[in-house]
Amino acid sequence: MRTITRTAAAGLIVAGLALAGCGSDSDGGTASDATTTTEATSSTAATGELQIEDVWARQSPMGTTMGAIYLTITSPEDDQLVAASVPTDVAGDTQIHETVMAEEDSGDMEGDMSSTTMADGAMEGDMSSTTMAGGDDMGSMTMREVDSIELPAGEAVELKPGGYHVMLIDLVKPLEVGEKIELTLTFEKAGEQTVTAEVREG
Amino acid sequence: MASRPEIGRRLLALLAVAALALVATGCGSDGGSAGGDGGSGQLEGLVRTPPLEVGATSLPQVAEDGTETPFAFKAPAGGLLFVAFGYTNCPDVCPTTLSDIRKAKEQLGDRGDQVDVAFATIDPERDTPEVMNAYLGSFVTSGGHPLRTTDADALAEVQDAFQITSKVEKKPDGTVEVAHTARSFVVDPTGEVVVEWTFGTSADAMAADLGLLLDRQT
Ligand SMILES: [Cu+2]
Repeated sequence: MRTITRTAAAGLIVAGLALAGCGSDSDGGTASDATTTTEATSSTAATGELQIEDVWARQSPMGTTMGAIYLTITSPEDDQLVAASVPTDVAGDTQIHETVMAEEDSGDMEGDMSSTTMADGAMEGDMSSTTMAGGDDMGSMTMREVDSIELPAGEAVELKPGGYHVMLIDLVKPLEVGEKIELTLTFEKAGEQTVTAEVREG
Repeated sequence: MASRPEIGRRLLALLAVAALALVATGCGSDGGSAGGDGGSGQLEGLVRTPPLEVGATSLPQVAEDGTETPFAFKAPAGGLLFVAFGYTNCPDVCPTTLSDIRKAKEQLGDRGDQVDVAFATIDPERDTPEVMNAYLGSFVTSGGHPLRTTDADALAEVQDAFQITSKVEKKPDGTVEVAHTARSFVVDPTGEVVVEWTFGTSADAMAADLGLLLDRQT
């Protein structure tokens, strides 16, 4: 019985990954763990320096006081991104966030799965009893603060829409295209590194 | 202990089937056939059988000064209506989706003008009419529909029609946690959802689908 359950779960994870692979930039939070293994060999930045690339923030729409910075980090050694900050004339607070399926907090496999199913419509009748009643289904996403982001040696770790982002809270003024933001990142081993984020149309 | 694995296994088996079905429709190769409506061309997004009917539901479209006009979820004749639900303090998912539909409309050139964009707030308390207009106006210059209701039941009714959910929760520390379905929709002039895009659908894929769907209408 246990084996069957595991097999079904494995199939589901594979299916979930395949789904995530369809969109060019989809990288749902739930898939990230599994994705790691497939990307482990993709970078060749074996020795040398910490690489922080493609640092950008989306132009902030009018009316919002929140923003997000995205970037790609390749560390030569196993490290962790533990903090991020921007000058106080840009935003009141800066946090490291992850966009996740809302159910992930429960840590329950079944909970995670229900979100995956909801995009499917052909099974409405079957699904209604298990998933329609609650408030957390149907691919519901939320974001949460994380303490750190793991940076395995030589692996390009992307902070990108739908995954991790550096969250800018209480923007002092809207972010405009072409603007540069000084972003200070703190790594467990590599210490503080300051890079420049460019504001793009997004 | 006996009942739990039983339930879990049933659920997982069910879900595995559902997920596989999604893979099939999501990757495009079979996209059109899932709808079974015989349309030519293959959509990148999800097509549901039977399709969701949302045309009978409506939300107030708000002007900057707070004036409300009922807006039914139907595209203008010969056009399409893009619909997304979210909140303006969402820095990641919502602007990504709206930015992608903006790019898709641009890619379609003049035909892009046939695609209206509705953005409905799930956080009306913080998203005032003024904020909603400013926000959506950052993404679309014409054909934008900022939708907002403070009537939770009215919002729930619309969300039910689209089969989505949202939750706004105030935490003890004063922060607000929001969760919502990150899917977006395209509705035709009859009020039928003709394709759904999961989060992460590229602007290119959106443009391709919109192009196909506009072709089908003319
Ligand atoms: Cu965030």
